[in-house]
Amino acid sequence: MIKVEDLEFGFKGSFTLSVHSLEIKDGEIFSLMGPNGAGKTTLLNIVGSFEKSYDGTVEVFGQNILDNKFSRFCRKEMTHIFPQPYLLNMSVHDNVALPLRFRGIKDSTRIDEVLDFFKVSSFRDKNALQLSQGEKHRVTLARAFVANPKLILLDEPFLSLDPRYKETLIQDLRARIKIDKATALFVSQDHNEILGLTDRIAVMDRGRILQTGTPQEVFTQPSSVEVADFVGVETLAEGVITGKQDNLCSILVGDKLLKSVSPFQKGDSVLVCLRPEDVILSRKDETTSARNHLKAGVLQVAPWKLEYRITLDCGFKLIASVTRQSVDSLGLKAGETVFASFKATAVHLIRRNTGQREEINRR
Amino acid sequence: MNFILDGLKEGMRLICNLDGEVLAVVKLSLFISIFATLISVLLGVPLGSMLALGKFRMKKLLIALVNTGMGLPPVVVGLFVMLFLSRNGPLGFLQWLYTPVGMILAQVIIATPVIIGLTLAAVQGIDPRLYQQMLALGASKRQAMFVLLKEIRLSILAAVIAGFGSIISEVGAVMMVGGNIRGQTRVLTTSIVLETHMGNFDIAIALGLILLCLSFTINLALTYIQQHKVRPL
Amino acid sequence: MFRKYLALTGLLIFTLCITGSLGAEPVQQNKTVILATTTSVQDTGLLDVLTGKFKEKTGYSVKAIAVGTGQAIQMGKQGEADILWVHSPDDEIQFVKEGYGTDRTTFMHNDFVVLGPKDDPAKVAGSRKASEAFKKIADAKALFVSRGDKSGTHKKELKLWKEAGVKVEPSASYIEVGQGMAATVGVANEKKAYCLADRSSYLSLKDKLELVIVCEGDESLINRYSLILVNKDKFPKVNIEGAKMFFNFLLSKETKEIVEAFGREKYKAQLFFYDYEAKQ
Repeated sequence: MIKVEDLEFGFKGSFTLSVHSLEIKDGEIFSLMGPNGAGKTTLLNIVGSFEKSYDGTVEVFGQNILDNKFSRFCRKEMTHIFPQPYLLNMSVHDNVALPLRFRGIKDSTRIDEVLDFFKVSSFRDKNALQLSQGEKHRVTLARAFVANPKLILLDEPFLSLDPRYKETLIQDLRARIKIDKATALFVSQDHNEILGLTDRIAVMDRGRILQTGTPQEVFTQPSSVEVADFVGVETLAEGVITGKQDNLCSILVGDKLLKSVSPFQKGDSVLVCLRPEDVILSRKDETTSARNHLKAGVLQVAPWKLEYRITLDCGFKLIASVTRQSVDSLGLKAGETVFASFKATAVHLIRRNTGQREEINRR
Repeated sequence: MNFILDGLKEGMRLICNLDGEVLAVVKLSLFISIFATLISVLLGVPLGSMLALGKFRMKKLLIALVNTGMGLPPVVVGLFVMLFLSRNGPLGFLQWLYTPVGMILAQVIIATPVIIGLTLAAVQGIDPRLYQQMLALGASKRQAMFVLLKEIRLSILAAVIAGFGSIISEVGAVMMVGGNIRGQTRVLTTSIVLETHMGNFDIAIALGLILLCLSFTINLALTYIQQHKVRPL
Repeated sequence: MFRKYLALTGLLIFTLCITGSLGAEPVQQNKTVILATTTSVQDTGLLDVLTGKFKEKTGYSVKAIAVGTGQAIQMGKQGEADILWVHSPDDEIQFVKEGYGTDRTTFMHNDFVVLGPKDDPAKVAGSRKASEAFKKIADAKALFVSRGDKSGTHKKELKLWKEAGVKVEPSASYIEVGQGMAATVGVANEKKAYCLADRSSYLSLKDKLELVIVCEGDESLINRYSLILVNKDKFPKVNIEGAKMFFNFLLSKETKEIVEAFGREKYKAQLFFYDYEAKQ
């Protein structure tokens, strides 16, 4: 559906957007993820034909998007949702009807259908500019889907949506896209949105794609420090593989020996990555099925959303994520000693080349 | 003070009796004003929109020219148009001097920059992303521009009203280019000058009142169009 | 879309030209005569009567451009007019001498009067000659309001000052308003000052004034109007046939009758005096 080759686009004064190769299949929901200024929105705008002065080839629906004759056709099969809702000074119904008007489609049953789906039917005759931010956003989404587009480009579309509503909407949206057999390219910084909606992700930073893969792969097996940092791997420790047996590696981190399932070899310098959710804490020094079991001193107990982040010292810094109840029952506070365990399969290794970053595409 | 009252009385008399000369002058004033406004709008609104939405190197320079044009003294325009249309002038062959067509030409030159400038400001005031959003929803460039113009129709109509206002009240250029010839190029404004010149203040005031009424009526119509279906925000 | 819009604008302009030329007077060269004349002729309304009559008779449309004498003469010098009807003898003679015009014919006159406040502080009343009156005004340092617009009236006024041996310049007792007759007389009236006006204007403004005539009848106050045909040889674009027709019309008995009768009913006095020996 979308093919990008050797794309180069320079920001004035800043970095260059440089994508060697990217392919998004028909019917796929693909996300671009990364920090602010990574170039995600720019890439989206290039695919959406709003940015035309680039080098390289971008093909959509099998044709080069710079071809003028094609771009008209393209526009009709595609829709682009911006972070801000750009609604006109008219009723919600009339706003949503616009894409049909532009295409000369008279049938208006679809309008009520999408109004219903995005739960804005009750505002049908109200002036769109009088709605709340969240309501406006839903209208914008309804408007985008009314003409049954085959390709949907979304730029942070869930900004300012009521979190309670967001969850259901994301599920419904995914279902909708799949039923319509449409393809979607989606830009976001919110992990939850991405995990709920996407088939595949590309992590971007400073104009480059660092890693592409399924959410599972990217979140649990980041290929570099930058990606790891972005996907929320909070424990990063330097180590060396001292031994290997079958797939199981022993890594020396500080004065502790950790076990990990990994293809790396003995002698490799690595970075140990561990997600906070994978660390289990207990007061008792008991053996569990987890191969890694360490004694740790509690440095800090900090609330984080509905849970707690515990910063531990095991000779290296270890971050664990723990529920409030567990904090209470374990009596966790700074200065206490606890035991941390985690599975070997939860330990992810990244090759460590001091001073250099690698772009590893794991697919 | 008496002459002001005389003026009002005379005005009523002229209007009620439908004085032939006054009618002719009114007809010509309307003909010229409406035609000139129409042409200025047809030229000014699209040019203003294209200037606002377009991206080209000379853009700032052109906008500066338009802004200067907005403040052009009408009498200077009249002078140059007259010289150009005169027998010795480059456009003398048109024989438009001392005719209503020549007057319309002068008016169009005066009003078009005003309409371009106001349209330009109105369109530039729209969030540029709105235009892109319309394209993103499948609109062609023309459809998108149309939708945007409707969105700012308040401002566009304000431009039309301003254009019409400057035309119907103009006196210097139409005097020079038209010659204020009785039955041919005499309009309300030039008649007022003439009557004042001759000392007939009562007739001058009467004509002034008629001009104001005309202007008000037309502006009322335009305002109705402008404010029609405007939902309170 | 752009093409449709261009077509619409083009159509509109085309329609305009058609209706413009239909609704207005015929613009063909032959049927239009451009007359450069002065505001004093137009202000009385005489011009409108004559051009109307002429149109009725011949179908010719006279475009009477009433401007100051200076501009009228200038229009003649550039061939922008076909015929001149002015009242500034020195300029007229020079005009013909320099080859710009032909057939200069002085054909009618009216006169100027010196107006002043009722109490006449400069004791002008009783002066036989206008220059004498002006000298008295200057000596008394009484306020005088001048048109100051290089019109025929203004030029006459300056000539009279010269005759009186007075050098004029703007001061507390001599102001130039740069406007037409009605405005000038209006200012003089407000300030209870002296001024020079043509009799026709005075008669039409009399009811609104507190000024009175303090000097009249002097030969030097006569205001003579002349016609001049603009030289076709010098300016090929001149409509000489039309100009000649209007010229002859103005020098006809019919015009004589109109001129002499003009204003009698309204002002109970004759405004203009026809001098030319009209043949037909």
